[in-house]
Amino acid sequence: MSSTKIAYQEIMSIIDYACVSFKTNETDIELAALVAEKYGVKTILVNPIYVSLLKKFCREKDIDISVASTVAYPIGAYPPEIKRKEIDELIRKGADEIYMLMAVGLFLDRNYLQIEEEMNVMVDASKGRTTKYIIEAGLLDESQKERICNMAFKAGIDYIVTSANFARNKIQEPSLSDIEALLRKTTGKMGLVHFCDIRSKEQVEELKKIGVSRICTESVLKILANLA
Amino acid sequence: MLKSMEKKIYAEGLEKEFSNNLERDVYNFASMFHWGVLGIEKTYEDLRRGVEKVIESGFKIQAFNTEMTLAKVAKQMLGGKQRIHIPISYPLGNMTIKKKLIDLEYAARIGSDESCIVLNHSYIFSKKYREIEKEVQLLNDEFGNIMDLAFVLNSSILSDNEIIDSCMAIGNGGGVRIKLNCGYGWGVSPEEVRLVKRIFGSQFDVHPSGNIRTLEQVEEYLKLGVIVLHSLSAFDIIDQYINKRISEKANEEIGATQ
Repeated sequence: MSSTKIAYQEIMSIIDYACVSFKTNETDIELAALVAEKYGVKTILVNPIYVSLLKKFCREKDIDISVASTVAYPIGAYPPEIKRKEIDELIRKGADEIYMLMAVGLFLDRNYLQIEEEMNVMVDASKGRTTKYIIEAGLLDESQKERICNMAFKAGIDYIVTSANFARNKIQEPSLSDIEALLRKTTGKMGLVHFCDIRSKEQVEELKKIGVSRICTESVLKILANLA
Repeated sequence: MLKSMEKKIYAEGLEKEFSNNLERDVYNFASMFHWGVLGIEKTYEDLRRGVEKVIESGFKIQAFNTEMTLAKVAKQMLGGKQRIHIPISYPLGNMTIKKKLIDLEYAARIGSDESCIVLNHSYIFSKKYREIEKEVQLLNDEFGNIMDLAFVLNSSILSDNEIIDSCMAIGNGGGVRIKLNCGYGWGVSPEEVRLVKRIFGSQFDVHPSGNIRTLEQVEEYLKLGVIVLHSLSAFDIIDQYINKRISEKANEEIGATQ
């Protein structure tokens, strides 16, 4: 195997390819699947309206990837009963992984009972599928990060995701020290996904080096161009 | 009479008839605005402060907008004295129709008076206007009799043709209220409102939203026949309106005595 191919695969193997922009259309989704297959991306994240389309396309083209979809994205401020119904629908459509955004305001209000409830709902409704719980790490202090990670671990969530990466929410992006703090609290218990824009392959390598399990990004084509 | 308004009128030494008329006009002006507490990170404390602001103002605004997790408490805090408005499928609109129905069902259950639903913009970009029409029709059929529904187009990112074709689809689906832009950095412009009014006349109740911060902007929309606006600067704008009216009257009286 050529060294270039190894480089692609090493980088792409930890990428969740996010296709959640409001401008994403059917062609973009299909292209993402072809890119994923060619370069070894294992997971594509789409908005709920595209789950069925992507599953069908992958079946027809015999593409083996995991289809992830979003719940309560990008606002998060929904009660657990609605989040459950969203997950139920995604499972029916064939989603393999669930990315769910925390009700951030409720957590900041210390409404831990409702946060615990939504975490349990996420795990229960996902019926064994991979669960990725999105927090907004840039808003949380050290003790809040500790608490949310402990709660997620107790609920059986598979990954913490650092941010919804939706710039229009005007939420502070998680810093490198936020990521490192989360890594201290999740290593050995859960995975950590950093949801961000990627500007270079060096950025991917650095995140991988510090221990981030996966990187969720829309910037796959940019990374590939960088690698070429 | 609002204390702040009273003080200003007294300071200018203006007549009682003017002050009564102004009070009526200000309340009418205020009643056009949606205002509220919205955002991923908003807490009950933010809600409490927002509700306090509305109550202290003494105005009955068009509606108090808030997130689904805060709406029930907002309704209780406001004691039923303000309409509650919950935005649905914000801000991307790329949720399934089933999800939008689930959200509206919950909103209706907790007593929301109105809602605005962001339409699936990927349909617009793919020119699938029949799907837009079907979406509007279904939502309207299920909930149009229970709540006032406005359908949201992020018009600042659409071409003129896309705006027109989307509005036509909304109309065909039975929609009568169109909100132009959802905020979140997407702000409306008078040109977008003018376009819809020019093509569709009074067919739609158009609600501009986003980036509305001054009285001048509001006056421009009023000239276009708008009667409902969304603005997080509503109270500042109302203050500007009061100040303008008082200063105009004071100048008029000075002119008359000279």
